[in-house]
Amino acid sequence: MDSQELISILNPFISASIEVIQDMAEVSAKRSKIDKKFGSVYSSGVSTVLGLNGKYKGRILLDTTVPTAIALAEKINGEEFKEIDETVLYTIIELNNIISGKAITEINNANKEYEFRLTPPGVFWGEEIKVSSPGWQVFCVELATDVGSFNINLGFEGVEI
Amino acid sequence: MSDMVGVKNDGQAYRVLIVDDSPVIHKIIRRALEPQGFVICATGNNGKEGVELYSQHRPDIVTMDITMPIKDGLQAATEIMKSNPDAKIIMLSSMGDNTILSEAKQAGIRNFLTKPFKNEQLIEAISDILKEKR
Repeated sequence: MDSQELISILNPFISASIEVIQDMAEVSAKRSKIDKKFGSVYSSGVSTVLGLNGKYKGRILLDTTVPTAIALAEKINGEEFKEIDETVLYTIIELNNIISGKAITEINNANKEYEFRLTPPGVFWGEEIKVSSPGWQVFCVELATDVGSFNINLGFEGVEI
Repeated sequence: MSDMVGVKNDGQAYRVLIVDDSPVIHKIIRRALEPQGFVICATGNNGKEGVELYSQHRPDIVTMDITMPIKDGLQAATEIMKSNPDAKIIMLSSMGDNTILSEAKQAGIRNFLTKPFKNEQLIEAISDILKEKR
């Protein structure tokens, strides 16, 4: 993967996240910073993971804090939640499923050779959770929203930029 | 005669079957349609349940997710169309790439709405499909 290809994959995730958070939760978001890491990242509290298969093998980790996850779920469902429960988790899974589906659709339609497919999402939450992908390069984008930060982590196997 | 999109000329409500593996989407669709007079007659969590519920309830409209466990939405919609070629099915999905759309068209499915959707978009898409003549 070269840096041009990385941009062609990363940018649709950024734009899909901003659009979907706005459409579903009516919360505005903007890109704040981009970072590059190797191997491990720490969850901020609530994380959804989806596998990515196609020209490149990887995983998408969409991550936020517990208060931000609750705030997004409240906006989407139009009801209050005092803590993380099944409805909050289902909401975060669906939000991230839609973001990833929209981004992958844009990527596949623009670049036929990628042929990316997503695996079903999983969600986990708690304190001090470390997500390890040994040897993988991980690209992290932080979005600033009105209800807290929302992080996009894309990790790829066997890729070095 | 009612002005509500979800009510037929004879005053009966249009009956809707929702098939989606996300309970959040069930809730979002219900919240969009019920104020318009539609009645949600059943909800299914995968394509297999969708086919079974269709034959039990014979709804006027089906909203069908594409990516679901056990049986996906395209397979389920194809089975429903075989049993009733006049079935009115609207596919809802965040995955709308050209390969998926082409598979769906081959199966005779032409009505799509991309997630996320606004309430008005869903109601407009359903109004359009209800006007279709087969």
